[in-house]
Amino acid sequence: MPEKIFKPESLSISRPFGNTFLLSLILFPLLLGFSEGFSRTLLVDEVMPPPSVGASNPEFEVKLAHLEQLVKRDGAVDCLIVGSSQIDGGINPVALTKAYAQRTGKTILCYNFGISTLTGEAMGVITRVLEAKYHPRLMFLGISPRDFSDQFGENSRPLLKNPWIQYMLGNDNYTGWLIDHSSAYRYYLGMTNWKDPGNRVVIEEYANKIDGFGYGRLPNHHTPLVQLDEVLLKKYKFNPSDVDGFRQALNLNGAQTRVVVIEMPVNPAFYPNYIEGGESAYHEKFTQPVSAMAEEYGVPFWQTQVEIAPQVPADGWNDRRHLNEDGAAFFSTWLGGKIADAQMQSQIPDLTQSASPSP
Amino acid sequence: MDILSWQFAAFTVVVLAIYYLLTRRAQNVWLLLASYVFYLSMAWQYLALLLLTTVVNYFLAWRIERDVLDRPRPAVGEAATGGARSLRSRSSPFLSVGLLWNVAALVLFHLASSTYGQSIFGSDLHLALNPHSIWTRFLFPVGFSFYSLQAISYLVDVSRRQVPASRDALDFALYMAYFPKLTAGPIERARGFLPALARPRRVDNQAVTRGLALIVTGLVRKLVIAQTLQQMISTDLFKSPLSYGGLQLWGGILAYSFILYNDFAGYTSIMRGVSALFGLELNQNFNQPYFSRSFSEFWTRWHISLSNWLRDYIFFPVSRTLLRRQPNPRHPLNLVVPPLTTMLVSSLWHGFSLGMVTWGGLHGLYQALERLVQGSRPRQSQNRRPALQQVSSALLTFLLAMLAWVPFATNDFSLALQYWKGMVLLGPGVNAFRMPFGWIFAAIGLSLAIDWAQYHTADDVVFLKWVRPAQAFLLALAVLLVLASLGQAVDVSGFVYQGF
Repeated sequence: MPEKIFKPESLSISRPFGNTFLLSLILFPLLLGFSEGFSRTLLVDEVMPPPSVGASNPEFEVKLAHLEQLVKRDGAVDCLIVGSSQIDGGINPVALTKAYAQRTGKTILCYNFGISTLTGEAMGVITRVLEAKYHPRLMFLGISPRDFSDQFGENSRPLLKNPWIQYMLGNDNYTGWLIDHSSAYRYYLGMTNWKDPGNRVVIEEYANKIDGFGYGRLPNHHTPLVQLDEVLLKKYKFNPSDVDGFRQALNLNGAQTRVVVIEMPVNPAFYPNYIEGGESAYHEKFTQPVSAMAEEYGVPFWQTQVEIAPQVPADGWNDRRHLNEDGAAFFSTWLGGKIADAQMQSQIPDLTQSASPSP
Repeated sequence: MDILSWQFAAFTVVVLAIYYLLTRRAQNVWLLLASYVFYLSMAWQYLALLLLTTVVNYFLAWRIERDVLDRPRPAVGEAATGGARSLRSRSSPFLSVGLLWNVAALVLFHLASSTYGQSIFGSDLHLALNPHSIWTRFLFPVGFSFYSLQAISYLVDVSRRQVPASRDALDFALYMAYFPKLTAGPIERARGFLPALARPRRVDNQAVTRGLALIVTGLVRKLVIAQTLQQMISTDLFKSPLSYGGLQLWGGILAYSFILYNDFAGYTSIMRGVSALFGLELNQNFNQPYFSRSFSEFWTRWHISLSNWLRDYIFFPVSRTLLRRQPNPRHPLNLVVPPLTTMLVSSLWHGFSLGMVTWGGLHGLYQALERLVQGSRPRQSQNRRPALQQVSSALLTFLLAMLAWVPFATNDFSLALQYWKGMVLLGPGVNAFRMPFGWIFAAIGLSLAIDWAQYHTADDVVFLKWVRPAQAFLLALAVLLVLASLGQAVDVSGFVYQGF
């Protein structure tokens, strides 16, 4: 019976067989190597969509991709500015560096890493990652009361779970290692996301909105501001995880990287309604505790709401909390001058004396 | 079980491993069991329907053969087309029963799954279409359209005495259920496939190499080209054409032309490769159709197994019937009606909708016009025409075929009209979607490069004739591209800019 069932005669393979396959096994890693080499050139950005670190946040991806392009093209970056959308649309690095150059006669390279909905918790993670990767001489933390509220952060908090970010924080994992070490893999992840039509619209919107220095311009539409009388933060108190994150960012302050905290201004008419309880609550629940924390770490805290916000042109606001391009130009010019002054007073290191080490 | 899945790959490897140990007869049993398991993995209802179709057609063929046994055999030369003499002899009523059974089932399933069917059957059908309903699977049997055509061709061929009625239930069941061709063809003829099942199979170096080359080529077509192109065009381009600009509409239908081609040709190539590993050759289904210089040529190159079926069982019988009434072969009736009828049947086979009928009607019209024009001229082989003429004919044929894909893609006549209108008016559109033309042309270029390599050598695995280092490089590159195409996108479409 078995002889009627089993008779292994059909398959008739003779040697040599499989040599082409073996040769392809040798060529495959060479192809991977070529892909890796190509992905590290400037040419790759002409043909491929922005690379990705696997985060489900296209704004973060585009900011990181533009920063990498800037570093690839111009060398190390001198200062990074981290914060929420108030930073994103509120600080124009080009205007900042122009003002700085006018005061000092020297140029610096700054990048805006403002991410929508960012709060203290994600700030702590992102600043640590950026510091480890790019070693900026100066790191600005642009903050505002909503950065310490658990009502916000829906788009930025998930970044904490990203494998690459975890890897950069010292939590080893294979995916994070691959993303960090392989430029080709980052472009592969970027292409994979970009191919989806729904994703592509969003990614390209951000890529077009955010310029090469990370600035997300908010055009001046000359529309009247609304909700100036409405209180934004009711029953305001600091969220512990956001405070922890902020402290982690402050802790970066040292010889390698100098940290400065900047209070991001809001529209003066809205200021009394930002925190429930008015200006005194703003001072008591926000400014004072932030000052104390900054002082603890030896970090300067540049306050702007009382003195600088009223100087912003009347139509320099996109809404009650965000500067538009006119307002950003004003504020960035002021900031550039402030940096120059602080440098002359030795509050911060001279950014032009020695370049930061390349990442 | 999706053919593009690790489960299918593992399934095939296991089936192959045991297959090679068996005798020919045991191999057929094993293949049949494997085919049933494959189909069962989709739905038990599908298998139930397949078994019923197999049993009915198997026994009907016996009765048909008995009825026609005393009919004189067709003369040499008449066999291929079922010549006039055989038509005058006694035909079996069981052939009519068989044709009615298979055609009625085809019509019923297509009708039930169409929008017209929903309007006819109303709420009962709506309830049945509930995805949790036990009856839903019966209404959408995967592969039924293909194996029912096989059954029809088998019964007709038996009645024409072109193939004896099978007395081997197992082999016939395998002919119907053979898993590499079960869900989407090619539509194989019993006269070729049954004898192959009866012969011992030998899978040597060449067969294995050829099979693997077909699989790799198919994966490149389906994943690297078709899937990438699919991702490049907007998902509602064919549902809301009015909101898109003219350039986007042109780009969209151009991409769609190559999506459809590479997806189907890729699938067929993979299945032919898998079948080659079993020592069973499946017929070629695509032969670089976009290089066709006329529509009569196009339909010898596109979905060849279906085209041949339609030619043998619709076109030739209609032509013969008309010729009996109007013996002049160049009469407009004889030139126009056969292709129009054939393409109408083809369109209904693809789907019961005005969109599909429009698509089929256009192709019928193209062929009818060609025949009318050619009817008044002496015949000339395409290959003898000047090269420039051939190229321009090919471009025109492609352009017209591409325009005909619009109703096929929209599956709706009014949407097709909107789409064509948008293409003609070339308006800016209101949708912000930007067509990545660079990537679209790159994918199309790859498709044309593969086609060209196959076309001018008339060999669908021409790469096997290249020197070994070139073959190895191509294989490594193909694997890299296929792996790169497998990535799953993270959905970030909800990330509109938020000023917080």
